[in-house]
Amino acid sequence: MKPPEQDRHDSEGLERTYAALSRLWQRNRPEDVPAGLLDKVLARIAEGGRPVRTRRVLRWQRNLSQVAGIAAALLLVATMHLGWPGGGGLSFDRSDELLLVESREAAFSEVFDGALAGLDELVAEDADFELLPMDGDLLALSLDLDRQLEEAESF
Amino acid sequence: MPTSMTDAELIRRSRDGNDEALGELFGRYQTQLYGFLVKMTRSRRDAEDLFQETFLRIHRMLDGYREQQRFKSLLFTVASNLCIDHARRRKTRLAVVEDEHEDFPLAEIADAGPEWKPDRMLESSQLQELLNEAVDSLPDAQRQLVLLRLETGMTFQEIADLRGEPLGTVLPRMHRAVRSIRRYFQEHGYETS
Repeated sequence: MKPPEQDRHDSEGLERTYAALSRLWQRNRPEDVPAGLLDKVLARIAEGGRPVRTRRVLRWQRNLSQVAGIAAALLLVATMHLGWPGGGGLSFDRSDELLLVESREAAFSEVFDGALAGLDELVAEDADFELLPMDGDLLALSLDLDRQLEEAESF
Repeated sequence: MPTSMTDAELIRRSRDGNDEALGELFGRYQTQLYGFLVKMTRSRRDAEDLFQETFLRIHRMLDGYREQQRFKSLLFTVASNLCIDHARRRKTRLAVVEDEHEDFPLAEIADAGPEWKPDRMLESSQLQELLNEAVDSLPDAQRQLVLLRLETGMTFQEIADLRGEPLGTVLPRMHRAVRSIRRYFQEHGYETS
């Protein structure tokens, strides 16, 4: 164990060396902060300080949205095929809408694009509707989902 | 908005909902913070993300801010932690701290004759560029410590507090970083004594 004086001596030597390095470092031109970046932060805070959405978060959210979108589409198809328990209507809240809208951005298969387009319209119209059990193959139903939804709406 | 207000005063006003005070407070540190983040992430795009995240987190922490705390330390503590998380996501080894040779003799520089004065060696932009390269070549854990010191001017004690480690643990690491920088200079043909 070194005596405290030695520690102080060592620390002072290191301090002087870093001071010299700092003088050299300060000759670097400071990085220019991109125009409007701080304003963007302040605007977000003014909006309620919502967490910033980084690209990574967006990617993660998009992945989650895709899964949720697929699940929602399958649920709808299954509901149309099997009937809604109790015969009640389907309704979608805001978070569903957001998930579905974001899901549409992803490159889904034609089937799910169609399903989501139909759902999106219903959500936009805030429609409650009843879905009746329908005969036929599940895949056929999903391929023609837009038409099915129109029929369900007009029912 | 007067610029002579202390950070603590600006924080008090910010807490009262004064947006201008908040803008003034953040504006004071934006260049330092952005420079630190660019150097740490080596990416301006990632630095922009972390810049926003840092200030948003700081804003959420202002209510609990203790005035005896130095705002700058708090800011760079948050920024450093975000950089560590960022590096972990990229599966780099920033969090890996080199704990070997903890007993490295700190006295080496002080006892090795005249102290090393790199800023007096050569008056050339080449030398400055060499320092940038040398710092960039450091292992991430050392690079973070060095950048905290060089970019923000934090004291060794503040850096130790930021990392939640004793000063006696941080100093040897700072010393090893200097040794690596010095070696880098030597490898590139510069006399360092």
